[in-house]
Amino acid sequence: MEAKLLFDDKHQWYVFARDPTKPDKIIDTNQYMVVSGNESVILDPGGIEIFSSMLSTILKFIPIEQVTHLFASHQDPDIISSLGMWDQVIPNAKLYTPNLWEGFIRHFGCENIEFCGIEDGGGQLTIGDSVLHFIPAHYMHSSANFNVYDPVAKILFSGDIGAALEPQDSSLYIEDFDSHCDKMRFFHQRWMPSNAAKMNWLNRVRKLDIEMMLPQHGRIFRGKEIEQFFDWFEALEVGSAINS
Amino acid sequence: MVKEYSPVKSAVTASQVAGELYRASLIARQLSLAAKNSQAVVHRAGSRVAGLKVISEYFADLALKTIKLAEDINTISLDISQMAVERWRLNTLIGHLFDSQEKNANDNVEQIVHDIQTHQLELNNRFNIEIRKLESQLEEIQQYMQASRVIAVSFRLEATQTDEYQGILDDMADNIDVFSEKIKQHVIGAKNYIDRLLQS
Repeated sequence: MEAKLLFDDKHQWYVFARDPTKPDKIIDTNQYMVVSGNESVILDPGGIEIFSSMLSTILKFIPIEQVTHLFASHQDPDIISSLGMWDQVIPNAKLYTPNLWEGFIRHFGCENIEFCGIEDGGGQLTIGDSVLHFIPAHYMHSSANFNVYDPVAKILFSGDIGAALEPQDSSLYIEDFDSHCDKMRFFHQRWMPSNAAKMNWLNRVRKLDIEMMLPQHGRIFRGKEIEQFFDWFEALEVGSAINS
Repeated sequence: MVKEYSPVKSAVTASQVAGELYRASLIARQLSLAAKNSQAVVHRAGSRVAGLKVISEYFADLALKTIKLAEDINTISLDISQMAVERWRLNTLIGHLFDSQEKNANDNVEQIVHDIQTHQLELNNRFNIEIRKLESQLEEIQQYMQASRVIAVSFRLEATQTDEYQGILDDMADNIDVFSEKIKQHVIGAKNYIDRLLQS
């Protein structure tokens, strides 16, 4: 699994992606980790199939005792079906995830890890000396869904928003925004259900100072590509399946 | 009867070993650079450090072998971790099947349980073979590091016979010593993780 340091100051952001050992038919996912002091949070730790790769990759950078928090933006299996395994490996950790999904996410196994439900309005999480903000992104695509914003690193973890369906060996970064739109279009038209929710999300995130936007699938947005994405997304009609 | 180690502990141990060896491989790259520098110095110094030519070639070869071995260990560790996770999932499944058997008081799942147990046994045997292989590769890399430190001593000895290159050769010997020691510490760390698993 590829691992890259995305931000390195008093705290660090890492991306773990493009796992060559994952079974072919499961969607490729990007996992992220924020490390500050002796604590860390893994953002959308991924599915059960990539658990061993994730564990091995994380332990290249921090010891197991330092994995103190998990965050799941929503309930999907590619986001958090590995929970039952993390539950055994880091039993004293805390899981932050939408409160609405508690009864569903517990189906993946959560006997030891403390379940910390995030209310619809959002909230904050302190990791070491860093404060991360949970930004509501409901119905984007999941009915209870959050992004994570780091005002110091100016990074927005956007979950499924900004996702693209791409081959396993594609670059981690967008190289040409226009051609990248083709890889994002179907995903957003079909998986995102509501134009009203889309505008609500855009109104929230346009107020944030963002230098890097990190989706859970596809490529990382940097600098002006973020505003380009917002404009492209605003113009895109979503919820396309109702026309079928 | 082959011993069965906790799949949870096995997965974590294998990942910890991979982590240690990843860090060791980063240092091995620095060691390799030191080896290339030593070859360049030996080449420049010509006949004045003739005794070092063979040693520096051996050193360069050793550094490359160390990188390769560290990467191999990393791959084996990942395999072991994946095997442990598979055993873990099978154990959970067996537990659920036994529950189902108990709740329904029937033997319908007996064949399935038998098949899974056979697979588990096979996995466990493979796991034990791989973990022993890992141990022996860690031993090997430790021996490399001992050889590397002998090279550092030779550099120091040779340095005393040159004037112009004494400082450079001394610095190189120091670097070789420091890198070798760091790699050794990571290997010891990795071995300790395995020992703790094998003693569990």
